Amino acid sequence: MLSIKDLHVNVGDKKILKGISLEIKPGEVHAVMGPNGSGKSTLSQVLAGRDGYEVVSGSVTFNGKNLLELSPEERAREGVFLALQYPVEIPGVNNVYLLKAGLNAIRKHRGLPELDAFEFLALVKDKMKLMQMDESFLNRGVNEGFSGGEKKRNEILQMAVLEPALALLDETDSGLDIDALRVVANGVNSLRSAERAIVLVTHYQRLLDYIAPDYVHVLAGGKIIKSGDKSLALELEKQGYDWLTHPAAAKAANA
Amino acid sequence: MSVTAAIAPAPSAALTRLQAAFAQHAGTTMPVRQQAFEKFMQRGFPTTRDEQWKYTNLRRLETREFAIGSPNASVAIELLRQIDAYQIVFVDGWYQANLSTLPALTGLQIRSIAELQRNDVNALAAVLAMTANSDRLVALNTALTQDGLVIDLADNVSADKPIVLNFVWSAQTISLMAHPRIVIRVGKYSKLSVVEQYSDSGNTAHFNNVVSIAELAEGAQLEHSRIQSENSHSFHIGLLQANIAAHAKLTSHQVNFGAALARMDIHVRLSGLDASVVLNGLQFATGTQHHDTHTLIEHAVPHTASDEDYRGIADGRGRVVFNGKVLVHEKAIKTDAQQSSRNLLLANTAEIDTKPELEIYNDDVKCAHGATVGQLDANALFYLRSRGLDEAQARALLTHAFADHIIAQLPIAELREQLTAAGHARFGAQLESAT
Repeated sequence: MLSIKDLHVNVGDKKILKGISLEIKPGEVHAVMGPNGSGKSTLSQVLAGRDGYEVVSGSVTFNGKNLLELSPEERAREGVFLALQYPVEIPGVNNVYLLKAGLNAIRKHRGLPELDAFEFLALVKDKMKLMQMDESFLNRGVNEGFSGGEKKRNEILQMAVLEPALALLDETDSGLDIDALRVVANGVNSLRSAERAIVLVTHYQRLLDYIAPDYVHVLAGGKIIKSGDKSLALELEKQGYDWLTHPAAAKAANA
Repeated sequence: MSVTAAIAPAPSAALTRLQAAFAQHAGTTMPVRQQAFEKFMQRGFPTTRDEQWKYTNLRRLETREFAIGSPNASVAIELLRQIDAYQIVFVDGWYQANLSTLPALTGLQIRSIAELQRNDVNALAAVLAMTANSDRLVALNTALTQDGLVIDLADNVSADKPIVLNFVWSAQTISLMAHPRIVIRVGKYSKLSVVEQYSDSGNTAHFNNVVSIAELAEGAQLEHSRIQSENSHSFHIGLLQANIAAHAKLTSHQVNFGAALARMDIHVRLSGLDASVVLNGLQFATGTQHHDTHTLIEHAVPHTASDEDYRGIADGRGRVVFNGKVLVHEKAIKTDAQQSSRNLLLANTAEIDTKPELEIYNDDVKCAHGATVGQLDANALFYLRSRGLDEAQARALLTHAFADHIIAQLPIAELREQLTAAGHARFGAQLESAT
């Protein structure tokens, strides 16, 4: 589904990603972990089409298409969804408006009929129950005045409504209390399916206690330095990133 | 080389034409009109050398010829949809009794200027004398006003519905001018909402030069809305002059959407304890439109408050000007004056000039102002696009959100809907309804 080959990305003069390769198939859940500044967020932003990043070399193919040539909206319509680390507050734009406009743009692209107001509301209310969100959120401005946890829930609500083929979750767990974390994880788990791939970008493994990944990759210094199954995440939790990034120093410390 | 001796310059073609218009005018014999006309002729139209008109050049207006229309022009106008308001119609500047519904409310008196000219010249002279100290375009209005409305609300009356004044132009191919004079006097502890709406969908350049005067007695509350959507060839000059007595409150909404050139002035004097004013405004210039608003708020006595929120949007080669002056007199301690001017520049070829001006003559005040000119938020644009909305739609949505902050505060739901739709048409993108 998603094939990243030797991807190099700069921001200004700074090299951030230095040769990332990753293969993701439908139905898989991948966790990309790494210390701060390792390039995790850059990877998810580049995949979603955020400008300000210069792809120096390498390729990203999504369902046979060159993803890097597509605009952010074309990527969304093809089925890429990014849950942002810092969801944007947009006063004056209704949540419900954004959801409906987004969903219908995507449905249109897929050759499906647009939902009418009644069908749409039924759908969105159903998804809101899953995310334990009050219906009053619908008519509020997008993320306007939402707490940190509410914003993250809203991201997963959008994901549940838009039903992407590939969901990228950028630090969705950061700053969540345990209740909110469970709700978010529950929402994500309910969206796991054989057709959908999910990439969890995170610093900590605590989200992985609730969403079990099939693969774990460690990103450091702009490269994937180790890949494994979920036991790798537990190893990281125990030993910290130094174990991988500065193996000699870590060994000395443990000795 | 010979130098011509200094002689009084001959009046320009524009002034000569206005002289002819004045000579034909019904009220020529009224001294107040004559004096005003002389005042206007002495200085003529303002030029960009005047500080107050630095950014707004009236040459385009001055070089055109405008006639005063007939009181009996036939119109096929589509009125506002049925709305919960008293609707009054003016065509080519003239009040149309047969198209209007006057409220039958005890304590509310409404008379047209034309009626006063015919039947009560003394009352008219008093109305015209309210701007005796003004010059230039206000003086021109005093001299030439052919029609308008005088609204008097007695003490302790709450008007049950807003009064909407619809100014439209008949389907004329010759350019017309009108100098409407509107006077709104709200009695003690009374409440009233008045909407002035100027609209035209034709292609002929017309010229409206409006003077509105509001007098708020002690404890009175007036909500005044002015919506300018003249056609994009026309000229619109509008003044709102308000005097606010103790405990009274004026809420003003102003929306500038139309005209080739629109210049609005608001002069508010807070003249009694606890008097307050709220000014909301939106200017949106596209194409080659020019929108200019100058406001002046005078805090003349202690314990008065003003809160001003003006927003401007400029696209294409449009230009938006805002100048907000707050003048706090020496004895006006405990003044609370807030002013915000937020502006959105949608194109490199557009221009926005905003200038807050504070003139404060005592130390015991709370005054704050902020002016910003920016572009659409890149983070918000990306966010919307990453949810599948195309760029044009995302831009339109964010522009709408910016404008809607002002529109949402207007009275009458139908009016807000109509403005939202008009706004969307200006964004050039289709926004489907949310529900």
